[in-house]
Amino acid sequence: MEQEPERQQQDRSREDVQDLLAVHETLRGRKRAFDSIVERYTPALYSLSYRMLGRSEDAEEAVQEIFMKAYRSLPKFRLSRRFYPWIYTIAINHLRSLARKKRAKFRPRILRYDQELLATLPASGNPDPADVVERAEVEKLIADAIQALKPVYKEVFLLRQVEGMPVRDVAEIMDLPEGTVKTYLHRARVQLTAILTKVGLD
Amino acid sequence: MNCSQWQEYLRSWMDEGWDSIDKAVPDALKEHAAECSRCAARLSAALMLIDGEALRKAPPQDLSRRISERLTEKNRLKVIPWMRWAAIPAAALLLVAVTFFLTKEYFLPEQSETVIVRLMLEAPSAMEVTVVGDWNGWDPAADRLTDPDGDGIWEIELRLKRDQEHQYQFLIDQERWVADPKATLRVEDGFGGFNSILQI
Repeated sequence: MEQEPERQQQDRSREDVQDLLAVHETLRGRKRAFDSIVERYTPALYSLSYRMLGRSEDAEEAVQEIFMKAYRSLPKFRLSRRFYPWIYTIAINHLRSLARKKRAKFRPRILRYDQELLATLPASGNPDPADVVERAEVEKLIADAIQALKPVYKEVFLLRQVEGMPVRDVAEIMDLPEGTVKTYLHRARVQLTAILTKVGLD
Repeated sequence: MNCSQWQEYLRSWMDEGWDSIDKAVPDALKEHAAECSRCAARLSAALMLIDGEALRKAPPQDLSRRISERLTEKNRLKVIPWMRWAAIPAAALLLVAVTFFLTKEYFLPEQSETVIVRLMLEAPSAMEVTVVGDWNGWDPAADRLTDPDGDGIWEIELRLKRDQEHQYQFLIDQERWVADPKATLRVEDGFGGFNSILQI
C-alpha cells in the first residue's frame, strides 16, 4: 500500500531511554526532571493541538492541560512501556474531549484573514503585503480542509502524515489495528484531495 | 487552461498517490498557477499537505518554560512507593456497568419535567470516573461519580429531562472513554467509539 517513511530507529530508541530516565527521576522526587519531557514534547504536542483545535490560544491551553494530566498520572505509568505512545494517548483523548465540547456548542470555526491567522504564519524575510495575503490564503485552505475531515481520520492524518509516526505507533496510540490506520489515512487523503480541488471557485 | 480544468488536473495528479508524489510538479500546473493567485494558493496548500512536515506549527518560544513553571506551582507530586507497582493492575481495569434505573419515588408534581436517573459503573482500579453527556455539554468534569464505600462501584444520580433521548459516555481517569455496557442502545461517536443512549 504505502511505504513506511524512514525514521531513525536509533534516535527514537535514545529518546525512549531519555524519557524513561526522566520519568524515573521524577517519580523519585526530582520534579524538575519532568522539565526535560516538557521541553522535548511541547513542539509536537503544540503542533498537534493547533491542527486539532484551530486556534493558538486553545492549543497552548490544551498542551498545558495535557502535561498536567501526564504529570498527575505519572505514578500509574509502567516503566516497562514506552513513554512516547503513552503521552500521545493522553493528548489524543484530551483533544477529543475538547473537540466534543466544541461540537456540542455548535460553534463552527470560521477562519478569517485576521491578525491571529497572520501571526501563525512562519516568519518570512519578505514584507510584501501580497506575499503575506497569499500565505494567509494557503493557511486558510489547509486549516479548512483539515477541519472538514472526520475526526478519527484527522487524528490519523496528523499523527502519521504530519508528525511522521510509524503506523504501529499510531495504531498503539489510537488503539486501532494497523490495517485500520492505513485505511483511515487513505480516506483522509482522498477527502483532503476532494476538498482542495472541488470545482467552483469564488 | 481555465481554473476548473486546472483543478481537475490537480485532483488527478493528487489521486495518483500521495506517496509517489516525489516527482516535480507538472509544468501545466505551474504555468496556470503563475497566472492565477487562487490556484497558486491551492497548489501550495496541496504540496504542504502532501509534505506533511510543512504543516507543523512551532509553539511560542517560551511555552515549555511557562508550562514547567506552572506545573511546579500547581502540583506536588506525592510519590508513594506502592503506586509504582499499582500501575500494573491499574492499567487492567475491569469495566462492568452494574445497573441503572429510574426512581419514580423521586417524582414530584412540581418537577414533572424531569426524572432522577442513577448511573453506575464498576471500575475498581479507577481513581476518577465522570459521566459526560449532552445534558452537561460534554463537559468531562461536570458530573463526577462517587464510590463512597470503596467497593469499586461508582455511581451518580442525575436529574434529566423527561421524554428525551440522552447520549453519554463514562470517562475513567480523564483518559479512557467507555460506553455503558448495560445500555441497549448506542450510536457511533465519530471518534471510533460509541455513545450510549438513555431514553427516558
